[in-house]
Amino acid sequence: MLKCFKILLLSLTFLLLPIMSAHADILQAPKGKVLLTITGNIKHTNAPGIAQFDREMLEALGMKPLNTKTYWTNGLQRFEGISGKRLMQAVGVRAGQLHVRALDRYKAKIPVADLLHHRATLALKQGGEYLTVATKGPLWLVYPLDNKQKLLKKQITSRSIWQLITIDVL
Amino acid sequence: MNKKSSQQKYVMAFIMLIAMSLILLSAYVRNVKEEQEYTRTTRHMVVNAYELHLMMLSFQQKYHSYILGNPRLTQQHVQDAYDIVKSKYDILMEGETYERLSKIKGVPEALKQSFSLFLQISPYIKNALPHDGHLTIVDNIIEHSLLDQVQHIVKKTRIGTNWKSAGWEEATQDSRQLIRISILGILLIFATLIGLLIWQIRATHKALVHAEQSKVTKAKLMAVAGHELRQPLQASSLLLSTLQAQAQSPSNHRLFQGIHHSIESITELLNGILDISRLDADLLTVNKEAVPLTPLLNKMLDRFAEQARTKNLKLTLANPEYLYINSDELLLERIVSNLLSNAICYTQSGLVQLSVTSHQQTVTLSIKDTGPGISKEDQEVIFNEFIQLDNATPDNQQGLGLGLSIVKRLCTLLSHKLTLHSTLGEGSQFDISLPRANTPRVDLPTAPRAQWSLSGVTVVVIEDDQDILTSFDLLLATWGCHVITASTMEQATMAAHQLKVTHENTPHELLIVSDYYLKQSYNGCDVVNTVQKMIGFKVPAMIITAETDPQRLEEIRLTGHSVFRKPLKPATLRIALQRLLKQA
Repeated sequence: MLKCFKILLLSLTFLLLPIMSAHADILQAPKGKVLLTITGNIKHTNAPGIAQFDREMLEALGMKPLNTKTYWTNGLQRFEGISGKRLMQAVGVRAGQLHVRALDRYKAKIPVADLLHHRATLALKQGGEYLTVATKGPLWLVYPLDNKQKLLKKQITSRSIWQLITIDVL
Repeated sequence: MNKKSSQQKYVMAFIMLIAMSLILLSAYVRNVKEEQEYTRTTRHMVVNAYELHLMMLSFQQKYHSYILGNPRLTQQHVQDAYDIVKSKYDILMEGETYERLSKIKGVPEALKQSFSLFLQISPYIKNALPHDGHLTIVDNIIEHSLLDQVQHIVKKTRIGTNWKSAGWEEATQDSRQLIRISILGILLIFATLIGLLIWQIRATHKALVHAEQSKVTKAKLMAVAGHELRQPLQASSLLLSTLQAQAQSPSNHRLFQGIHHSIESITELLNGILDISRLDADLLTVNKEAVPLTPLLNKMLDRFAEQARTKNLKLTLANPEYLYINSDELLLERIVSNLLSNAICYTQSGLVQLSVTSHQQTVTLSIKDTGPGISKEDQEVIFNEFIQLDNATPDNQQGLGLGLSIVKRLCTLLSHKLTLHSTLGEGSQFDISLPRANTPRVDLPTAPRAQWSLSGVTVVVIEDDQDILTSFDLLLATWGCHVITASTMEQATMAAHQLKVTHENTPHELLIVSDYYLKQSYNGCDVVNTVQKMIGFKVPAMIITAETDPQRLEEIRLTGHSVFRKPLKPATLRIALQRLLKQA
């Protein structure tokens, strides 16, 4: 009986080992304050079932400038942030829906296609300064408004989420 | 009016109408979008104002809780709550939301005032510690100033109360202006179109009236001219007969025949032109009644027998029954005589056959000849006016080519179906389908012609044209008649006085021939009646007239006298006189 249990435990360990080590390889654990938590149907994690990011980790994914107007500001704005495409690559998401929450309890559903194809960017900086809660930060999902933007205004207004904290991949 | 230019106008108006409609459509679509956009931004404003209020309450609660010593809260929590409220102020004070909100009176000022007050409590929040002494100050500001102000803003921006005042007019101004302009344009174009249409209808109507007037004028002219032409024709015909009787010799026989023939041709042509002009002017009145076909056909046969004989043509009539048909006698006579005349004219050898076939409801009258025939192409044009076929060689007698046209139009007028079967080189056959009449007309029996002598008969001739009167006198004298001429009522009554005495016992040997129109207040019928009354015996009388209107002829006929149309051939006159005598 005891022998039997031992064999079972051993085989279970061998089975789980490759999976656990694969996760640990790609995403490191956050060292600073967590700004973004991604949960749900993701490939790469750094904690059981979730991926957490601090500012350093996000910046490591590659900051890109984005100059655009928005419907909630006056004049052209200089944003800097991680392209949605890069973020989705980091957690291994290719399609589906994102259930996004904000600090002010705002919720919205966003298709992954917005991030992959419609250039939605997770902005960290505005006008060279880090976004804070008071300035719709620390993370703001910004859609560039230009001639190439195919999304409708009403789609953009409901999906441009500021004070973003969690993304749940459905 | 130039048809092409008016058509262009219509096309232009139509294109403009389409353009305006498109503008209206696009303006409408734009208006819908603008309305939607307005609704959306307004909703944003309202929602964010509510959010501000909500977050303010949340912040107040967190601050209270923290200061009062809730161990689960840190200064960071309070700071975050404060920052969220600040971001809500930001949302309302920037971008499109502010644009909408700024249209509402008093709100931007209230918002700015509230925000600056909110910024004043920032240091207290930054340095907040549990149980610190600033609770009362901060709480007072939040409870009594900030919340009140925010509530005021929420109230002001709420949907329903300030829906339109928040710049609806301005947001949809362009599209509404465009809609107004395009509707005005469409109305204008419609007005133009209707105007054009009315103008065109008027012009067409005017042209129609003008055409109708000129048609009637032309027809009237023709009728008058025809009437005037008949008089000298009549006179010359009668005079010629007289001359022939007096001076005919074997050597000049052909000359007389030639002149007779020419006069007949002129008469025929005149009749043709008159008929066409009457048909053109729709002046022909149709008197449909039951007509016995046999006497009509016999008459036709009589008329054309001589003509056929001179051309060595066999003219036959196959008429097995005594049938009544429903038609206008005079007009049908013209149809048949035109067709027969044509058949005889164009047939060089062989026969011209007149035949009647009776059916259940109809009677078909066929005129068949062994002439040159008519080709398929020509069959289509042969009924047009002034058409004479090249292959036809009418014997030195050129008509106007009106014959078949008259036939066709008369048949249409009488609604008799006319069909033509013809093969080139073999001959032609014209079929006229006539409706059978149910009730035979009560008619005088057509008695066989007897060669009665007219010698010794006294004829009173009343005629105002001196030439015709003379010719009558001469002609009747050659037939052995005793002629009394009169040109007025007075002369006629004088003659009657004498006749009453001389013919007291032999009133049967009296006859009256009178012209209808006497250029006086009375007409031929009046004179005849007076004379008859004076003699005290209903002396047989015939009225001669140049009138061609069937309606007028019928009116004269109704007076009870025999009516004959001018020009009257001497032979016809003789037969008529004989018949009158016999009836008496």
